[in-house]
Amino acid sequence: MAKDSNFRGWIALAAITLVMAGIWGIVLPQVAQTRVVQEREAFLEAHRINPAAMFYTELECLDDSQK
Amino acid sequence: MNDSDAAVEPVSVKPGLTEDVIAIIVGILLLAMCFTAALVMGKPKVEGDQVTAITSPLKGWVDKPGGWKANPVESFVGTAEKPKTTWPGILGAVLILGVFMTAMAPVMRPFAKPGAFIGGFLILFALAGLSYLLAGQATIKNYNLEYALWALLVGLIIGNTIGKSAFGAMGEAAMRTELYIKTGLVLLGAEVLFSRLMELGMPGIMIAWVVTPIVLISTFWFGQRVLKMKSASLNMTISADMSVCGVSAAIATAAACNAKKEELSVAIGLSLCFTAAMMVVMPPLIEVMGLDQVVGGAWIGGTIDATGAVAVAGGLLGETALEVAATVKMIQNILIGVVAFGVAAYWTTRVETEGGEAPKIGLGEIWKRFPKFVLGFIAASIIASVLYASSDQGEMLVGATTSVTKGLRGWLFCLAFVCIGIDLNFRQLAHQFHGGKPLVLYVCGQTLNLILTLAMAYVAFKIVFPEAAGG
Repeated sequence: MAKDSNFRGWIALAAITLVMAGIWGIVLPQVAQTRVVQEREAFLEAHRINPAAMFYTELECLDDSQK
Repeated sequence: MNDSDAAVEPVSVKPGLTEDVIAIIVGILLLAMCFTAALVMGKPKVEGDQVTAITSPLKGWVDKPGGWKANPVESFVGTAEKPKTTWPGILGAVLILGVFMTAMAPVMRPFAKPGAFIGGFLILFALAGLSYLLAGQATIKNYNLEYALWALLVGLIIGNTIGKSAFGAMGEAAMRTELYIKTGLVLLGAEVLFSRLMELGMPGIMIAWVVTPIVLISTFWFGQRVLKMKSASLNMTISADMSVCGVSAAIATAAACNAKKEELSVAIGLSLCFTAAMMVVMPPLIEVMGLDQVVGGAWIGGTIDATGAVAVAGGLLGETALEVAATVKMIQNILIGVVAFGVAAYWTTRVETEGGEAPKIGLGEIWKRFPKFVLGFIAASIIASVLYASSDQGEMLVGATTSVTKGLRGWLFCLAFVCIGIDLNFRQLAHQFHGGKPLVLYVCGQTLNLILTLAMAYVAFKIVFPEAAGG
């Protein structure tokens, strides 16, 4: 019984991994090629903005503005 | 997070040190190591005849997977046009954290065999690396979906499919959510520089340090008295991440008030959803309202939770708005030291006393209950602030130190979120949303925050200190 549920767990993990690989490997790269995302990326790079910054020490643009 | 290590409790054979004490020891040792490396072997950057910065020799040895568009390998080596090798830094981070944490394994409570600990640690680190990889994809990154979300998701998938039992003794030994969070917070302390508080002058203090505590306390009161939320710690964690600075404030507050893992997850999930929406909506709204860049930037800085999202929204308004928004958020970031201490003190003396009467506890009991890691966090903050303010060299040394420790801190938080995800199940998570009270709390608190911050930004920059807006 425990072996069965263990097996089901691994199958579920493999299925989810496959779905995520499809999203990150095919869908998101396609979206990244769109004009909106490319313009946004260029804008962030030009302003040295790290959109994923969790704390101010991760913002390069802030260092520049203090100088 | 008060039940995070319950699964490893039965193995305990000797008292050992609490995760608070280990977090302080490891955190301070890491800070001391990075500071000494910068002091003794730091490379000065000279412009003209002046030293303008010090580069830590450890900087290249602590990194995380970088951004990528179509090929995840770009995360580790960059692209042909922009080569950026991150894999040595990733190996350096696993080596540094692995050695320090494994060295403490024999004295941990509950005890962990170093061999089992390092095995489990490497598995968790690989999952944390995968989370960074998911967060680094260009589309995901541009919309501020932070690594915390993906670390939780990776953990949830593992926990709800094969379960943590699949990792056996290694998982039991290394799954220590509180240890990773608290060590990360001690390192974060060195980035909380009180000496940078006045960088926007009095208007910045009025917006970030007057409005924020008012919103925090009002939202908590509203949750307890009006919504009658069952969990005070969930209420406090949501109130703090909404009013202060998103994920980092949620982590610090949840640890200070001993919130459950699922409560921290709910608070972070709410914050990330609203942050993504506000980041898109606020810049055009400010333009429609006809606000200038200074007031608009201050409004963005004081209300959007996540620091990165504040910079994006501010930047969409313009250069001035970006500078004001990011500086207001920085001042708000610094507030988390005070909030963590205040919440820990409040929880120790009041909320944890469940007698219904006013608490009457002595100093000894307060000391026993007080989360000690907060002292490490505050000590790191005070020492770094004093050094930063002492001289130009002090400022550069602190910068060189935190340029390394912020990378380690990121990995520690990521490890903690993976552990939280593994320990959670979807039913526990859904239970937290029962009745929709967390959502109502967030919406009401954020509405108050938006109104008060806009009013204060206008008063500060247009009425009391108009010269600050002009300058």
